[in-house]
Amino acid sequence: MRYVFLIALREFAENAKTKGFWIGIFMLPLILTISIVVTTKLAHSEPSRYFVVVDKSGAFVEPIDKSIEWQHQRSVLQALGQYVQENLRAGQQPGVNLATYQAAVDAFIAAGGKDAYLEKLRPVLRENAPAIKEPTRQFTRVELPGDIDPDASSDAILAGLKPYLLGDRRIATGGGDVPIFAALLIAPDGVDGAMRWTGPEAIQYWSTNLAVDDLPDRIRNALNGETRRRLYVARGVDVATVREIEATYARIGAFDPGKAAGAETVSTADRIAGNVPVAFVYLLWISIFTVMQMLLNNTIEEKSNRIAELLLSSVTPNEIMMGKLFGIAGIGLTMVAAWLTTVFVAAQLYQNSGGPGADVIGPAVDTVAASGLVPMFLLCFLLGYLIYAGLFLSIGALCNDIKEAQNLQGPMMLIMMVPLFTMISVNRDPHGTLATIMTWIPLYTPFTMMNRAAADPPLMEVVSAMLLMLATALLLLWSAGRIFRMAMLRAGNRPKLAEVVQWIRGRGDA
Amino acid sequence: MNSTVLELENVTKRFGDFTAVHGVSLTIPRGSIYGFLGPNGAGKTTTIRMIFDIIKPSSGRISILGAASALEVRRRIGYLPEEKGLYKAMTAAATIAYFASLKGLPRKAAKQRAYELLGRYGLGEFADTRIQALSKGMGQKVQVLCAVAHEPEFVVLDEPFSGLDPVNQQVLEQLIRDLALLGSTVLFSTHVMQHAERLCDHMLLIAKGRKIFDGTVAGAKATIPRRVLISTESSVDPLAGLDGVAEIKPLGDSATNPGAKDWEIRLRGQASAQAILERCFQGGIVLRRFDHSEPSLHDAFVSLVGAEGERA
Repeated sequence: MRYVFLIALREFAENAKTKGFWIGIFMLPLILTISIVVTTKLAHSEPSRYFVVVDKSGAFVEPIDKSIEWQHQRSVLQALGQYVQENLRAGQQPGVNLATYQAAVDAFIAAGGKDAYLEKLRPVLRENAPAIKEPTRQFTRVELPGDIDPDASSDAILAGLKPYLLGDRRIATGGGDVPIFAALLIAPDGVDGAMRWTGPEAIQYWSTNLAVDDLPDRIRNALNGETRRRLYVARGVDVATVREIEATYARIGAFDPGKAAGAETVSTADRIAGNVPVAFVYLLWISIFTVMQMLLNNTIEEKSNRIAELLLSSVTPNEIMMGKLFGIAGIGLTMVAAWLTTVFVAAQLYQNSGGPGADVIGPAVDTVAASGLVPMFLLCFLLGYLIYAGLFLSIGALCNDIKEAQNLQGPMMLIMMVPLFTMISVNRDPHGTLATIMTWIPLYTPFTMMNRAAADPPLMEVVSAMLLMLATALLLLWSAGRIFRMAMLRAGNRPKLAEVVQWIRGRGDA
Repeated sequence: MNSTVLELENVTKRFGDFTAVHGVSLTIPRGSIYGFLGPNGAGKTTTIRMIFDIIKPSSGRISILGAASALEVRRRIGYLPEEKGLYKAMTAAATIAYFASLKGLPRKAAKQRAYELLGRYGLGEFADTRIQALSKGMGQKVQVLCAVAHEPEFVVLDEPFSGLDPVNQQVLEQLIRDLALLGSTVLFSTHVMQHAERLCDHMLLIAKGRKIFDGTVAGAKATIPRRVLISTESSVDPLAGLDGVAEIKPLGDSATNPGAKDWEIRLRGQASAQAILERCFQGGIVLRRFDHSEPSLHDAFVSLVGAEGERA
């Protein structure tokens, strides 16, 4: 055991000295932080996109403008909500509705918008609160460029617009010269044509970027709204009444029968906690994959640098293998512990900072901490580590250099990607056919059981899955031991599969 | 204390249909410097791997320091493999200390010994340098020190001189002598005869996996018949009937005397080389070269291994 300890200690110490280890420790929290900060900042700093509407029917420009403006006012109200959360005096409640459902936004607009609400909110805000930063308009409608005749045919107008849409020409706006993001062409019979599903489209949306669907969605809403309004009027229906009825919003309470009596309400924190297994699966995947790379590199280093023979004169192949296994497991656990600690500490700090969503994050973290997901994660990590270590130790021992290993690693990577592809589906239906099948494929059991953990799978199934993982790990490590003993001193051509099978069966020359 | 450190008894190793070592037996007396000689592919490394229980013999018996497996006495033996390599990112001192600790030395003592050895063999200033920053010769020295840092009773060095420059070869020869002076038994394999000639008390010569010779260096040289080498453009017929000449063997065109041919005149028993020289003068043989020096170990090696050795 002393030799296993010495080898494990060296593996741990040497890997802990590498840049890769420290990058691994800090990179994940750093990437998470940067992703959140950058996404938030980008959402606020995204430049406005400009579009033109050529409406030969004369019916839709105003509804479109209103719809775009409504959407903008909604984002202003959302920003105001965050601003109020950040600057509210302790113990105070905002006296206005800062929610962003339709009726609340309508009320916001009707009351006079941001300035009117701010006036009402001033008494409950801190004295030194900074000025609110209004979000940029996401979309702005501009008039046709001066060189295009608005009375020309649709084809001629489109031909004139194409250089602007392709970015070859720019249109002058208050914000400088910009390309036109999209153009909406509406035929003279646009009102009737909007509901015609055969023949040429009466309404055409032109843009080189069809991935952004916010603008077409807003336009579609506006066109539908206006078309329906006209139909209501034509049929003598009171539009105001219809609008009032359409603005109603059903309230549905969500309850979980699995929770304690009297506390069955499903909160936002519960919903977040329900999705946390997906994050844990991802973390599990990254941690296992990272340490497998280390295990593979170290094994190959000993083989390609001809260190194996020197080692084998002092220790048995099994002692080398076990030492590696424990040393790299130590590295992996240190990394995982650092990541989990970072996430919990960051969540705690954020909760204390009172930033947007802080009231939800705190309970969500508490729910996760109390749920047993963390012990499950550690168990899945250890068993998953042992399973994959059995495979990667064998690959490392069979290859002469890292290039050869990469060839064998390719198929392994594809196999390892499957839990990532399926993690959302398994999380949505944790007792479904896919989840059940994946549970009983040993290479995927750690990831699947982690993913299903929040859904309380039957105890019998959990115990069986754990036993399956343990048995697979022992079998693979036992095989790896045989392969390791035979392959570590072998140089030249990689052994054929049949030869490896012979080694595992205990036959071969050594 | 047992007077032998290693005994091999009829040891054979087969890899499938190929037999790498055929029934080799040997005994290494304690305190000796023992040469393990043979051409490339003779089976030296395979034999050494079996000695260390890294691979198992197909048949035969091995006893090392009285134990059946080297792992039982791992603290008392040291090994420098033929294929040399170290952890590139580790420092020289940490590497030596690590391998010494694997040989049973406490970690602190191993570290002290590493610095002491590096200082003694001229690498003191590189003790904290990573292996990847050392020259090949320095790296090889570090590896030799890894093999001996725990002061083993029995050290096996497989091709220790390969890749070393002449200066470092001398340092290594001195290290081997130091080990012997301290009471260690040293077995080293080589196919460069000069090292063996300078260092060995005993030697074992194998070729194609079979033992060819086992004994002292003088004994190996004595296996070569006494002979005279001559170069001449004349006919050597006058030597043919001379008493004491066992065989006249043509060696081909002389490389050093253009137009002349080299001949090996093998002598019978205690026949005198002087008589050969006299017959040359009498027979009108014009000599370009007359060489009656003692055969070297190299000559003995070539003679014993034969054509197989020539190819090595």
